[in-house]
Amino acid sequence: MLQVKNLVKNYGSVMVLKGINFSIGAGTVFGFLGPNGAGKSTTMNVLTGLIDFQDGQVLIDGLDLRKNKDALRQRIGYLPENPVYYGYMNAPEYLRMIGDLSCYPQKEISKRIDELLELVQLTDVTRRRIGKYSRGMKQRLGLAVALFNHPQYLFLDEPTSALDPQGRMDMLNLVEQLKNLEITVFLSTHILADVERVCDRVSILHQGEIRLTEDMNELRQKFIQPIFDLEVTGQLDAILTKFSGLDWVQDVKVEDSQLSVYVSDPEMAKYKLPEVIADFNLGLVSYKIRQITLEDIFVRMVKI
Amino acid sequence: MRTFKAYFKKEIIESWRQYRYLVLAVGFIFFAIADPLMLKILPTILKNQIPAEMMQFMQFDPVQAVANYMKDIYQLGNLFVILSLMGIISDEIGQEKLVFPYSKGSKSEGIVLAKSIHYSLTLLFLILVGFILNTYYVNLLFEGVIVGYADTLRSGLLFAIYYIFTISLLLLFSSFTRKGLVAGMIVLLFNYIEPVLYNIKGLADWLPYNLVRQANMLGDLNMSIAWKSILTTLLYAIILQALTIWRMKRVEVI
Ligand SMILES: Nc1ncnc2c1ncn2[C@@H]1O[C@H](COP(=O)(O)OP(=O)(O)OP(=O)(O)O)[C@@H](O)[C@H]1O
Ligand SMILES: [Mg+2]
Repeated sequence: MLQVKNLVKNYGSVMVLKGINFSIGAGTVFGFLGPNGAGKSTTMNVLTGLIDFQDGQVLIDGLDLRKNKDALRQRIGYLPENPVYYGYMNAPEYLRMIGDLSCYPQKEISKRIDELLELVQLTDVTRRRIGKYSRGMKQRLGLAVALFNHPQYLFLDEPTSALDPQGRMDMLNLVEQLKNLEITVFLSTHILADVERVCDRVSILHQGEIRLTEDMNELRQKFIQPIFDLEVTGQLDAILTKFSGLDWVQDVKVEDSQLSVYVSDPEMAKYKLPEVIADFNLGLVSYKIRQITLEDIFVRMVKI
Repeated sequence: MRTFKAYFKKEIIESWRQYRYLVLAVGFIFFAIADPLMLKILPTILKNQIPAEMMQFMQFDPVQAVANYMKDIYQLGNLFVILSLMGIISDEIGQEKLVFPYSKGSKSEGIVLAKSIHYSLTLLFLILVGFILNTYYVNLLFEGVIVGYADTLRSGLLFAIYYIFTISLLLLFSSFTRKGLVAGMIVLLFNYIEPVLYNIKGLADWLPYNLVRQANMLGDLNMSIAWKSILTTLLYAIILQALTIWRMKRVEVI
């Protein structure tokens, strides 16, 4: 269980995290979304104990992060946004060092290195210096480093950003496997399709504030509702007034002659909406039911 | 302890693959040989350019030749050490190289001590080899009273301790900045000021620079003065390294 309470982080006079709250149960894959500069990486750096914060509290398995840094680091794996290595080492050398630093049982280090290099598919380049790796290869190696000591909490900051399509699939499959091992995964990404595929729960962060935290299932039910897109000709004022009086219409967005109607009960709207249009002597150019995606939610949340 | 081991190994790999051993070896060993050779051929080179009566000042004995080497490894050696080690910690912080190690729970004591002990041993080795070679060549090339190995090795040891202090100073300042050059400049500045402070009465005995002065005494060295300098300098080194560890426990590595 990871709990974040009222977390505040400033860089000088800039308030990057403005008191954020969320909690993640064990074995959850938590998707952390937000536009560039929202504070996602900053949050991860705080949660992994690498930077300090001004106010609030972080609890991991009930232990205060500030007071139990050493103990908690043993349970955490972190793949930062831009992983940096000692470029003159090769992957096995670097992983051996990581094995020592994490106090991994000495005799099992070699076995673990082989296992991980296999997992992230770097067995062909073990002799090459890491400095000569491509970005995607560095990201794969970073995953091996993060996983080295079997962490219970895994923080992945845009882990698929540099990966080829196959690599991305592999990464997502791996995250799904981790879920079965009761490992909690904290995943920040801009690729919403990835979130829809692997996450159980999501948060949207915007300008240092959490705009939404929701289980994916509930999110689907609550938000991922169809939108009725209409294109009409004629005077819109009357019909807009009518819409605002209807309790099954949640929201209407107008752009020129395009109307996007958000409804509370799509099944009913299918029948009622055509009736309403017919009442107002308008020309109907197009009528489409659009399936709302996480992307729409995301855009809506960060526009406010 | 595992952090110490990991970082000691890392420093060896790094120094080897980034030619740091080579650079330091040039600083201490190359001059051990090149220095007496230069002194030897200097009069030949200058023969036609300076008056004959000046030439007698160009005749060195082994003791003077060793003194010249010591002058060089104080001035040039400091430059070599500072320039090659100024990023000893700041590079790691500035380039975010400590993110993975810290996220894996590495211990700051291990990192700092591995670095200080690795480079102290490296310099101790290079300085002693340098002094042995230098002693051999000055006795070979110059006429006069022979310089004893025991005397020069003792001076070498004093130099090594002096450099342990320089390394400790570099470690501390390097841990406070993300730019190695800043740390390097501060330590260099300190090195230039130290001989000036040395002239202040009562202060001399307490400065690490005193070790360099004592080393220059060779056979005339007063061991009781030297001991005092050795102990105070080592004490400074311990304090500086303790401060570095304290700092590294708090530093934000990303
Ligand atoms: N070391 C720092 N000093 C000052 N400001 C910083 C520092 N690190 C981050 N910031 C600021 O904090 C804000 C959040 O940055 P952060 O890297 O957490 O964003 P992000 O959500 O990860 O963005 P991205 O999607 O681009 O990775 C930005 O405005 C950034 O400029
Ligand atoms: Mg980021």
